[in-house]
Amino acid sequence: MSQRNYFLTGAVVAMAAGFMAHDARAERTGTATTLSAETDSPTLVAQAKTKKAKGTKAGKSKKGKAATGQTTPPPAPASKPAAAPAAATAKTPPAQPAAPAAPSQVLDLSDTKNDEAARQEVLSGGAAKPAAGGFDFGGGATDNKGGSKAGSDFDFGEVELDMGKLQTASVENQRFEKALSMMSDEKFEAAALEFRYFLDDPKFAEVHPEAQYQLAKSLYKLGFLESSLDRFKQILDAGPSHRRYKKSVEWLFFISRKMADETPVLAELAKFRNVNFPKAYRNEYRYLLSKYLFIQANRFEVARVQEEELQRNKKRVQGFDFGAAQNAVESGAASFDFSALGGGELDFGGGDAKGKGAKAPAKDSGGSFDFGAPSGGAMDFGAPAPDPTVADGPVREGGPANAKEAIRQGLEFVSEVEPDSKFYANAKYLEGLLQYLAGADQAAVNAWQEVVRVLNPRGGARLDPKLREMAFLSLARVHYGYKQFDRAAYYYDQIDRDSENWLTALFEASWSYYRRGDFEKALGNLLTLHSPFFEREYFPESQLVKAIIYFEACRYGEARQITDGFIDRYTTVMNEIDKLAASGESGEKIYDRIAQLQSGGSDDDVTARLVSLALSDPEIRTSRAVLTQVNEQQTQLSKMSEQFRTSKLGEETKDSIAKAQIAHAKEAGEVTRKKFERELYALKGLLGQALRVKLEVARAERENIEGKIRGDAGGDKIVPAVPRTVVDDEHHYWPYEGEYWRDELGTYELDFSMCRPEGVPVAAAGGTGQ
Amino acid sequence: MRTFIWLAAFTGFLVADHAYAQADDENLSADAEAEQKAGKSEHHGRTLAERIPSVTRRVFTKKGRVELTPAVGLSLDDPFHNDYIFQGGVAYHINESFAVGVQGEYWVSSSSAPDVSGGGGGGTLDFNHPIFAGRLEVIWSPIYGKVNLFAEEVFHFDTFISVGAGYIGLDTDGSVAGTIAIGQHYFLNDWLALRVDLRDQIFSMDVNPAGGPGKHVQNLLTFNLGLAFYAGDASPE
Amino acid sequence: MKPAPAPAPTPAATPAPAAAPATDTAATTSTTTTTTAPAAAEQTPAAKVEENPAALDRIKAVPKKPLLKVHRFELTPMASLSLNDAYYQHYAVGGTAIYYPHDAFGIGIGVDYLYQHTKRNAVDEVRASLTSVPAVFEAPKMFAHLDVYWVPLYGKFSLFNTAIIPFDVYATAGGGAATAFSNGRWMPAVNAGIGTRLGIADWMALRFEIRDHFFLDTQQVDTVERSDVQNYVMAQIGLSFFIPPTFEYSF
Repeated sequence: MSQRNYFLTGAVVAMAAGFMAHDARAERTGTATTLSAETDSPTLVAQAKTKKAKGTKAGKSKKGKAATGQTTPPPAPASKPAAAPAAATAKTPPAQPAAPAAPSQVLDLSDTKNDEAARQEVLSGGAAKPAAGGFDFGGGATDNKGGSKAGSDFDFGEVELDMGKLQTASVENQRFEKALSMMSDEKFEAAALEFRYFLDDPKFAEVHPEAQYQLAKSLYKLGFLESSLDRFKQILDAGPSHRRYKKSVEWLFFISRKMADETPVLAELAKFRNVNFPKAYRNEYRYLLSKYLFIQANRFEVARVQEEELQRNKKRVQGFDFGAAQNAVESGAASFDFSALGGGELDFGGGDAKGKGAKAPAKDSGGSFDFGAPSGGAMDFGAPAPDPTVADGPVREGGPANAKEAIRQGLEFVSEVEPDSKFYANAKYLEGLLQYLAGADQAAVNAWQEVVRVLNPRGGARLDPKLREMAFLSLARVHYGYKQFDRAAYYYDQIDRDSENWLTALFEASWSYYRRGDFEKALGNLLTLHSPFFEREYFPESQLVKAIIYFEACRYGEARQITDGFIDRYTTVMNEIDKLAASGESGEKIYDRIAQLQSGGSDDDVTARLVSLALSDPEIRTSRAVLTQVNEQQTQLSKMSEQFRTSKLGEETKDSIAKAQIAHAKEAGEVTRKKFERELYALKGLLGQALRVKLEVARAERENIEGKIRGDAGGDKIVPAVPRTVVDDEHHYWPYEGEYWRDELGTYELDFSMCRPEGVPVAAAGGTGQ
Repeated sequence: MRTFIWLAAFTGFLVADHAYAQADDENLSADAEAEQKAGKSEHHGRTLAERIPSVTRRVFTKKGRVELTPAVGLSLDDPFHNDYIFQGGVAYHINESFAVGVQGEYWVSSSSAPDVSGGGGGGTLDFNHPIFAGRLEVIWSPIYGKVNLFAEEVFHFDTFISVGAGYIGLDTDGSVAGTIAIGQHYFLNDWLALRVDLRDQIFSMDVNPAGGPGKHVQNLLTFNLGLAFYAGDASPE
Repeated sequence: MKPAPAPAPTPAATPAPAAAPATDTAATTSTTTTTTAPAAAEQTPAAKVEENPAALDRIKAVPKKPLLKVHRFELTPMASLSLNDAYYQHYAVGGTAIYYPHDAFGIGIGVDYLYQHTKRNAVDEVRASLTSVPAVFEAPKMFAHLDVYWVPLYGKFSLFNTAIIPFDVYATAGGGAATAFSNGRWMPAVNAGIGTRLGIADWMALRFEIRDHFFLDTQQVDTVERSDVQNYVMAQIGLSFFIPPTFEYSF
C-alpha cells in the first residue's frame, strides 16, 4: 500500500495546484453583489456595479491606479452632503477648544444620521457620549472630494479628540488641533509629518499616544501598510495602558483586510482576547480569525506531515538508480530490487472489472488516496478551555501553541458567526475543515453539506458558486477517503466546467471511476485532461492512472507505451526541477527565474509545465502578491513630496518598506524553492512508480505467454468492447471523431476492450450501466 | 496522517480568500493585480468558453478548397409556371467561414394556368419567365454543427448565407438580379456534401408583356438541392 | 451517408492522447472512410482485439442534454406567414402549448389566427390578362388543432466558433378545424409539420416550423358548388417558454 504514497503525493500536489488557485475575484464579485444589496447608498451600489463591470479588465484599471499612486475613494456614505460643512468647519480650529471632556472616551460615530451633529459636538468639545469599546466606523464626514483623494472604507476620517490634556499649552494645542483637522481634511501627508514631529518634541509629550495613533492611521491612509502596522504594533507593545490600545487592536483587523497576505497581521490579532467589534464587523472578524486559526492548526500538522513525506520520499529515491532500474525493466529482469521504493506486491486497488481480481465490490484492496480510518482520538479536544474572562478590553495572550488548541479556538469563533451573516457559508466551510482536521469527518461532511444547502442557487440564502464548489470538492474527497466512490464521483460531477477546479475534479473523479471499476469513464476523463487544451496543465499522475488502467485491462503493450511516454516526458521535467532545486541558488533567484520564464511566455513544453506548476501554487502566488504590494508601496513613496521623502518619517517609511521587501523576497524565494523540492520528490516517486508499472507489465506479459504455451485458455483474454450508442433520456450521444466540441469535454467515455472474468457480462464488469 | 496531507488541498481557499474581505474595499490593492498577472497558467478565472473555441480539429475543413456544386431546383411561388432549374457553380473557400463563387443556371418552365373565376376562363397565356441566370456571390458560413439521427448517425453540416448579383435572362429581355440564399451542406465524407438552399432572386420583369400592368419587381423563391464536391486537400485547422 | 467511425476513432493526423495506444497501431485509417469496415467484418471481434486490443475501442461523448423537456410545458407564441399561395400572402399569429410526458414526445394544442391576407401582384396580372379574378374560397380565419410531437433528432451548432447552440428537430401532426367565422362553418382540418427548436436557455428556445394545414372547403362559386382541398403552408417563428422554468437531472 505504500506505493499509494506516490500517487497520493502527486495527487495532492496536483489537486492543491488546481484547488488552491481558487480565485478570489469571484468572491469579490459576489461580495460586491451582496454589498450592493445590503446598502441603501446609491453611490455604493454604483460602485459595486462598476467594480463588477471592471472585472475582466481589472488588471488594466488597477495598473492605472497604481501608476497614479492613488488610493481609491472610499464608498461615499449616504450622508455625503451633510458631511461637507463639517469638513469646512474643521479647517478652522475651534476657537474655544475643549471644555474638559471625559478622558479616554471615544465617540461612536456609527450612527450616520447624527454624524454631523456628533462631529460638531466633538469639534466644539461638547460632551461626547461614551462608547464602550465601540469602534468608530460610522459613516463620518468623509468628504470624498471628487473621489481623487482617498480615505479608507471604514474609517471616515473621524477625529476622536481628547482635548482635556491640552488645555494648558495653547500653541501646542493649536498645532495639534490643526494636525487633527488635516486628518479630517484628508491631508494625510501633512498630518503624518506633523504627528511624527510631535513624537520627537517633548513639548508634545502629553499627546504622544494620540500622535502615535494618528500617525499610524495616516500612514495607513497613505497606503504604507507595513509602516502603519509597525506603528500600531508599537502602541500594542505599550500595553493596555496606552490610550489607543483597544483601537489599535481593531486596526489590526482593518490592516489585515488590505494586506496581500493577511496571515501575519491575523497572527498578531489572534493573540487578543475579548476584542469586541462593532456588529457590522463582528462576523467577519470571527470568520477571519477562525480562518487564521485553521491555517495555524493546519500548518502545525501539515507542515510536519509534509516534511515527513518529503523525508520519506527522499530516502526512498536515494540510492535508487533510475537508469539501472530502467535497464533492468527493459531487459525484462524481474529480479530488480524495488524495495528501495518501498512496498511489495503491486496492487493498485483497481475496480472489479479485473478478471484476476474478482474481489467483492465493497472490499477495496488499497487506497490510492487513503485517509485510512478517521483518526479518532488522534487529537483529544476534551472540554474546551474556559474563555479568558477578562472584564473589558482586549487582552493579549500567546497564540495557539498547537493544532489542538488552534482547532478548538477556531471552532469557537466559527460557531459565533451568525447564520444571517454573509460570512456564514464561509464559516461553515471553515468549520468543515476544522472538523476534518480534528478527525470528526461526519461533522465535517455535515458542515459542508450545510454550505451546499445555504448556497443553493435555488432558494439558497446566498450565492457563492465558488465556495459551493469547494464544498462539493471537499465532500467528494471525504467520500473518496471512505471509498464511497459513487458518491465521490457524484460530487466531483457537481464542479462546474468553468471552474478552475474542474480539471482537478476530472482527474480525481477518474480515480474514483477507476476504483469503482468504471474504466470507461475514467479513461474518458483522462481523454479530456490530455486533450490539446489542457496539455500544459500539470497532472503528471494522470498518465500513470491511465497506464494502470491499461495494465489492469490486460492491455500490456499499451500500458508500457504510456509508461514509457510518461517516463520520457517527466524525466526531463524532473531533471529541470532537479536543476532548480539543487542549483544551490537562493530561493529568490529561483523565484526570479520562474517569473522571467513566465513573462517570456515560453513555448517550450517543459518550461511551460514548470511555470504552470509554480504559479498554480497558492503559497507562491500569495508571496508574489505580497511582493508586488510592497513594491507598490515603494512606488507610492517615491511619488510623495520631496518634503515627505526627506523627512525623518520618510526615511523611516523607506526603511520599513525596504525591510519588508527583503524579507518578503526571501520568503517568496523560500516558498518557491520548497515547492520545487516537494514537487521534485513527488515526481521522483511517480517515476519510480512508473518503473514498477513497467516491471509488472513485463511480468504479466511473460506469465501470459507462459500460460498460452501451457495452453491456458482464460487468463488475460481480452473481451472485445461492445459499442454502446444508447444513452438514457437525459444524455446525448456523440461519437468522438477527432473533433473536439467544447461542450463535450469532460463527458467522454470509452467502449473499452479489456479482460474480464469469464461469463461476466459487459455492463456488470464495469459498464456504465446504460 | 493521510488526513493532513489531504487537508493541504482543502486549504487552498484560505490562501486566496483574504481578498474576500477586501471586496468592499474599492482599492483592491496590489494583490489582485498580482493575482491576475500570476494567474494560473493561461486560464485563470476565465470560463471554458472564453478559453476554448466551440469546435477544434473539425472533421470537415474547407479552407483553401474548391467546391463544385451541381444542383437541381424548383420555384416555389411562381404563379404562372412550373419551373425546374439546373444549376452549376464553383466556389473557392478563403477560410472556414468565407467563400466566393460563381453560379449559372438554366430554367425549364412549363406554363401553369391559374384557376380563375368570374368569367375569362382558364386560358393559357404566355407569361414571361426566366430562362437563365448567372451570378457572382459571397458565401458566409457562420454555423458549423452536427446532428444526430436517432442516436445512430451523425452528420456534420454548415449553414451558409450567400449574397450575390448577376444577370437574369428572361423570355423577352433580361434584367439585373440580386440574390440572397440560405442553405446548408451536409458532409457525407471528406470530399462530398449534400447541399440544400433556399434562394430569393430579385429582378424586374414584365410578367405579361402582351398587356399586363408592366414591369414589376419580382421576388422569385427557389428551392435547390444538389451535391458539393470539394477538391483540394482538407487542411488541418 | 456518413459512415460510422472507423474502428480507430482517432484520426491519424491528430492522435488524441487517451486513444494514443489505439492510434499507434490502428489509427492509420481516417475516420471518414469506410475502408476498414468491410475488411474488419470478416474477422471476429475477438480476433480483432487479439491482433490489436484497441481495434474496437470507441470514444464517445455523453454530455447531458442542455434542455430537458420531459414533464414540462412549452408555451410558444408564434407568428407565421404563408409560403404556398402565389396570389395572397397570409399572415397569422398564434401559439402552441405542448406538454411533454417524455423528452421525445409531446402533446399539444395550437391556434393560428389569420389576421391578414395581402393581395400579391399576381392577382393584378391575372386580372389584367384574363379579365377575371383567381377563384377565391373564403379565406379561413382560424385553425385550431390538437397535435402530437415527436423529437427524433438532436444536434448542435457552433456559431462563429464561439457559442454552441443546441437544437432539436421535431415532426408534428394533428387534427382540428378551420373556420372563416363569417359563415359559421367549422371545417375539419388536419395538419403536419416539421420544425426545429434552438435552445437559448434552460427555459427558453427559439422555434422555427413549417406546418401545412389541409382542410376541405366547399363553396358556391358562380352558382356552382365547388369543393377543394385547401392547403396552407405556413412558415412560423416562435419563442418558447418552458414551465417550470428549471429542471433537474435525475441521473
